[in-house]
Amino acid sequence: MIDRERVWVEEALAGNEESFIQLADAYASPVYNLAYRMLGNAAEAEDAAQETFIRVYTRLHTYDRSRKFSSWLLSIASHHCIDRLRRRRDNAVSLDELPPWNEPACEGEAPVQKVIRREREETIRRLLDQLPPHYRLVMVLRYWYDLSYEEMAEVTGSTVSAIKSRLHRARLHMAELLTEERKRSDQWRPVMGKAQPVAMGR
Amino acid sequence: MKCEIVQEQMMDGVTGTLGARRMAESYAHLRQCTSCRERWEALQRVESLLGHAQLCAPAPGFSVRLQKRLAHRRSTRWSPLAIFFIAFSTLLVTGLVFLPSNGIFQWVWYQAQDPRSLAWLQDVLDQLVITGRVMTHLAGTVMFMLFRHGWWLPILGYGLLAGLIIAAWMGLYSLTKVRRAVMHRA
Ligand SMILES: [Zn+2]
Repeated sequence: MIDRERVWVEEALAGNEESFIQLADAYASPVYNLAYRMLGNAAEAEDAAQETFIRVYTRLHTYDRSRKFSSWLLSIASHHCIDRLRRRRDNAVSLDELPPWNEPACEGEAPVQKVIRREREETIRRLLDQLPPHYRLVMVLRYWYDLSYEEMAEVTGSTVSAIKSRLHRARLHMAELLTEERKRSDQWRPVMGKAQPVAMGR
Repeated sequence: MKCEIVQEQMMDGVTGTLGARRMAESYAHLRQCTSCRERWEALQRVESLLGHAQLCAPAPGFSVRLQKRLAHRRSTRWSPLAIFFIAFSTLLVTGLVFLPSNGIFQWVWYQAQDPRSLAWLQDVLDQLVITGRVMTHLAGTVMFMLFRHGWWLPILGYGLLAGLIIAAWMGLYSLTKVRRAVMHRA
């Protein structure tokens, strides 16, 4: 993979667009997934992923070949997503105004599995959405890309100690959110059970 | 063991990087401390929720859409240099048409007032020659920089050039004003 990737990069630098498209094809899922987890929305994730690749294409000549290509790519994608979130906050776009959420596609799945996965995905999205962008980013890089602290520092342009503390706080924050959600749903369940017969009687 | 220490070690415990002895110590604490236990359980829930998270793929045809977008960008994208050249030429043409015409009208008017003031025409011609020389020199320098250092230096150069030309024309314009005042007094 790395060898092929190097060839694609060289060819793309020489002006071969086909090679760049092959490179983009190989990294479409990692980039799209990052955008999707960061932005929580399929349509915006598609747009952000495409923009990321266009940026990569126009800045390919600045790519330092001693670095891992995937780290460089993820770093461009991360910065782009953080920028988008910042703009979204500045423009005060509420989540309701964004296009509806589309679940990620997973083929060849049994209906029960699909329901469980959907619920899980929805929970993840809801929790990630409540984290501040920089916390969200370290969580995504840690759990979906399995990056080391050093690699995360490289991708985000910060230090290892900053990453560690951010990840620590992000995990705690998410744990709190999850606990709150559970408490709320535990309170909700008995109420639903009692309310139902009354509602049906009317 | 103190709660802070246990909570500090929890992160390593959750990711399975805490040593067996420390893990045992932490567990001993968790058995008797409700708040730490709750936190530990919550962290484990996060771990199990995200631990199996899958990469999600874009809708099929991503690279085809990307190719289209790239082609579209290429056809519509104006290079900063092109934008600057257009802005600069507009500025230059406006300057060349507007300012001298103002001066020429005045000159014609002065001629009508006093036929001996031909020295004014000499000034205008001098200014034009100087401006032309400066322009040629700067354009040469700018083209040289363009080939060596990319697009931002030529822009800086042309910005300076535009400034200089405007300054030259403004100088010329104020000169006509002074002349007019002098003529009026005379
Ligand atoms: Zn405790």
